[in-house]
Amino acid sequence: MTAPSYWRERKYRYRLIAKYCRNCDKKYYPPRLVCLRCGNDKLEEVELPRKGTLITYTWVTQPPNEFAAYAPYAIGLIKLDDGTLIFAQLTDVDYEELREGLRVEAVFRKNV
Amino acid sequence: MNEVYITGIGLTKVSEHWNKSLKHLTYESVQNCLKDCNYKKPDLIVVSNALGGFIQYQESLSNLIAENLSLNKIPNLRIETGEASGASALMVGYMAIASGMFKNVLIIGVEKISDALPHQFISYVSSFLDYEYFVYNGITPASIFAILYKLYLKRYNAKQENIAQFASHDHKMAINVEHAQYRFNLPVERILSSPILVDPIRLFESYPVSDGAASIMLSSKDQVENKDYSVKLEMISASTDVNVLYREDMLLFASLRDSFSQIRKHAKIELKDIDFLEIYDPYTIASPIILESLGLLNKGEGYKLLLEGQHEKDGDLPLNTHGGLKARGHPIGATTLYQVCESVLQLRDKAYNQVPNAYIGLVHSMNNIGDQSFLILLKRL
Repeated sequence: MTAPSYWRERKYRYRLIAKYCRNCDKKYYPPRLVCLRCGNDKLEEVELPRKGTLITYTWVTQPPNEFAAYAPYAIGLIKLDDGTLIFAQLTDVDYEELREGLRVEAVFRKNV
Repeated sequence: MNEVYITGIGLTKVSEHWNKSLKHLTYESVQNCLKDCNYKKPDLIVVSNALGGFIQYQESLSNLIAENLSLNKIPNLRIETGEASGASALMVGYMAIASGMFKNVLIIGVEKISDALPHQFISYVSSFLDYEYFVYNGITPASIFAILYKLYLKRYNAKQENIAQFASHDHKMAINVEHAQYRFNLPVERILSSPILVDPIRLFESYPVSDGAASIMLSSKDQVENKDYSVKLEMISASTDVNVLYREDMLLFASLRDSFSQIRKHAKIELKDIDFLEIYDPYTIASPIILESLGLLNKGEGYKLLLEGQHEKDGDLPLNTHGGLKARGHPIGATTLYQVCESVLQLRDKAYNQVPNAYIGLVHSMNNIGDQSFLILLKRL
């Protein structure tokens, strides 16, 4: 990914900022510009909760080029505490320790 | 609106073609197609190719292909909608004929994956997702299918051996198919003992690395010479869905449900009228979800007809009679054109696994995890 695109998206990614439609009470992450239900384009920016529950997970052994050095790694489908679903990498945990229902929180991880 | 017919098809073998370029593969399939349609002269060329810009660094591909075929002074264009590129190219060809603007449109699907290194290929194919938010986190299409797989097994208390059976089915079909990539039996035990690709997806539950090209000549009614050979392209329906995270039910492809209701409404066709079905099955778990989304089977029962043997060539609904994505192979931009060519063979009574009395065929194509769905309805004349 190019440097300007990291820069443009940094707020949404690092602070988990979603777009919120007040009409539909619906949050979008990845952020979208227009509500996919009602077409409202006056979406507000809201910070998502940084804690959630692991719904399910998998183990990526065939990574994209960008993550070749980190494979294998775990990714999870996470339900944040407000109900928003996100995909994220799971860190500081062994694959054997992973289980559905595990509590997780968003952290920064050092690129090693 | 003018009626649209398929008057010629041309295939190359799906394989890892180390000694052939995009140009060579295309040339072969187009020569076969031109011969098949008695050398009609196209007045438009539509190329379906998803990854040539990434893998071969080749853009403007349609013009290069036209020059290489010596088909100059004809408009050409390239269509890309990810894995559904082939279906979109057909749709553009359909519109071109239906509008009355063109008489013969040559649709060419071509892809050459073996030129890419494995990790590069995963990056490229992941670019079909929202790159800035999915690939940035290391999420690939395979990992999303793996998550759907786990959700499916849990919600419906299903067994992996039943779902893996879809790969076994594809391989059994491919044995007779000359242009298929992997022509051998693959029992479920071997699939389940193959290495884990993305837990729980096993290696043999995934599509392979494939190169291939397939071409189709679409024509208006006045261009149809041989009625035994030509097939009517009755309708193409298309619909889309939001990405999986926004969906109400991850285990349902709403775009496909929507796409099929268009077929029912406009073509007045029900599932019972269909003589054979081709589905887009990059991973085994896609198959039951597709069959359930079509409304063929109840949720959680997507593999029921398979276990009953009803997807065999003489069953109630023959499925992927030429090996599907797993055994025929999956040269991405060409895949849907292979599916349609194979269906034309069925309707000509020339298929490798001929379905008795095949008059109506339905081809399913999709991008990503049902983000886009297409259905192509074909009828014997």
